[in-house]
Amino acid sequence: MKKNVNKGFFGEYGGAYVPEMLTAPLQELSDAFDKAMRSKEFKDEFRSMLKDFSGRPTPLILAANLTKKLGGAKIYLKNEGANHTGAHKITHCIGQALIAKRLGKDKLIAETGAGQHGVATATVAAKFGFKCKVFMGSTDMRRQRPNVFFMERLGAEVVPVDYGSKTLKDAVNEAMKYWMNNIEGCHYVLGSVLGPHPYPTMNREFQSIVGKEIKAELLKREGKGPDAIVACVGGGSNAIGAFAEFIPDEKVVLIGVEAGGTGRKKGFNASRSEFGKLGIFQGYKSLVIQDEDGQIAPTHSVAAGLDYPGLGPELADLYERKRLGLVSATDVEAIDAFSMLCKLEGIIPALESSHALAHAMRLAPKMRKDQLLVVNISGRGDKDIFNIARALKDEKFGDFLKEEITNY
Amino acid sequence: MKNAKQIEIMAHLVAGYPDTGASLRLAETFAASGANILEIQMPFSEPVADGPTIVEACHVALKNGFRSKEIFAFCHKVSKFGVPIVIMSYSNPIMSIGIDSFCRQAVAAGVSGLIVPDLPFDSKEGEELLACSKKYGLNLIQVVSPSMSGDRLKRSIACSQGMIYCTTKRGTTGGQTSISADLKKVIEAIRKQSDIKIALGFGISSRKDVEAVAGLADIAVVGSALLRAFSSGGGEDAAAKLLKSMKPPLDR
Repeated sequence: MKKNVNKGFFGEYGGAYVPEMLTAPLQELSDAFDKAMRSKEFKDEFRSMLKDFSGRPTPLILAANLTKKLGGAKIYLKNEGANHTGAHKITHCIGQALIAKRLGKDKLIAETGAGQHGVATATVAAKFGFKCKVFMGSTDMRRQRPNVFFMERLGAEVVPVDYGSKTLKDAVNEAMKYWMNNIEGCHYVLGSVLGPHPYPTMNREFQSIVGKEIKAELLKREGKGPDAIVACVGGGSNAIGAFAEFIPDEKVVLIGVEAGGTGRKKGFNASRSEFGKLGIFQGYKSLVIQDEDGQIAPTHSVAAGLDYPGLGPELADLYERKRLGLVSATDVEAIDAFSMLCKLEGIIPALESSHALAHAMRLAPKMRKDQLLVVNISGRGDKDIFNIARALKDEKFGDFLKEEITNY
Repeated sequence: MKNAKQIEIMAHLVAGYPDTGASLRLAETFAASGANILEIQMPFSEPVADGPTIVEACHVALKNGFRSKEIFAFCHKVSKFGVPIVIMSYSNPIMSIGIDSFCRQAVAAGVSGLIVPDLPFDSKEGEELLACSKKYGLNLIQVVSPSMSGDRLKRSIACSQGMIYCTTKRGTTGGQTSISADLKKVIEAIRKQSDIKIALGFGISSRKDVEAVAGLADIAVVGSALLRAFSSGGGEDAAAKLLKSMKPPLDR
């Protein structure tokens, strides 16, 4: 009996706190994942899809201009935005689709916040011949319309979720409910290292390729590993992907950057390290932003992929054990960092990734010139064109939109 | 096995929906309209096992200011209506009050049972809840599903108290009722192992549904249908009428 109790736990965090009807399908998924991890055939197919479909390995770019400007550590950018569909999300989507295929499923469902995971799921569904349904908060649909458009072009049905905060957490609720009602034939492609076991472990395992590539590439070019790695943290999939390989090596400083939103007051950001407390939410136990009644509290971020109230359980454990530092960057800092990277390095980062950059810019000058700082650029910024144009008050873009609407 | 004449009805409502006073009156109405047990749901912002009707009710209750700790005073008032009370709550509001404190205050408020749909019996908190409920004399009611393995079902039955709550299908509350072969098998398995009362829930919305489960279960759980009757303009009267239509004619 005790054997099951610790399954999927990272210290005190994680587990599978789900309605009983999900216990069997999660067990089935967990068994299929364990089996896949022992299968050479699975691993070969996974690696081949990453290389030939997604375009891995992604480049590790020396940010020479940024390094010079900041005058501290040598900065490398791991450009996950170079993946097919523009972010790291496709990696765990490919992994899960291959497992769904082995389970004989014919339909993929997913939640999405910024839309990157939804587009990635819709893409692998098209590639592998699955039907696809993506749940998305109606607020996020408004913020990320281009991704909605592309999901629909890829053949997915995008279902608006119109309750609660109408963002990522509500999309997770709705996807879980749909799964409960349609377990036969349906695989839920949960898009981060959160939710019930085995999702946090499974997605970390798939995403860990990011850190492995960073390590191999730096060894080749610098003859050593990184001194520090910085990544943004919503649920935490890109962060754990970049960190996993280095967790045992205590010399490597790992820093996650949460959404600082519009200020250090509850409700104005998504800083779980500051405002989260232990709770059970969406199938797992972790640090969750909630009120004193145990109700999930509102969050805010300019980045739709970061305004999630719960922290991936493995990251919560690493944070508690002080292996991981958690800091935050505000909306404004993220947009400033975005602008700087565009102009200095010729890279247009996603707003989520811009949070990691914002902190890297604070950190680099405090590091020695012989130290290596890696920033994980989890995605590219194409999807954010409307939000950034508005934030930067770009009048010409506004004129373009007005003109464009007259063409309809 | 029970026949139609003996089946009990557990009527569900969300505490604080649409506000505390109205939900209290609704509880009184249910008690007067043939409900044998009242299932009172603690509002939660993320009710992941519930369909749209109950989700909406939870959100309205919270918007109108219902606080988790008010559940005890609310239940205490409901206990005066003379019908046994079961609380349904997700894990997190219970965690925020504290498992031991929650059980103690629930019993003091006259509550006889507790259902926690997102807390597996074999989790650390599930075990702690079972220990505390035993300590204070609260029935911890386990939820079982037709998809459970035989071994897991056996362990769940062994730690369920008062009744066992069986879902009629895989899904969230408020959907369609269907009695599958799987469901019949689960019920047979429970009957073989225990004489605990069996409650059947999820999607029971008419007298026909109640009759359909009457031969199988001891308790029919009616939730979303009553809420829909109440919310779609008919108020307490419509909900009471629906409840009565499910129960009394069967007693004749």
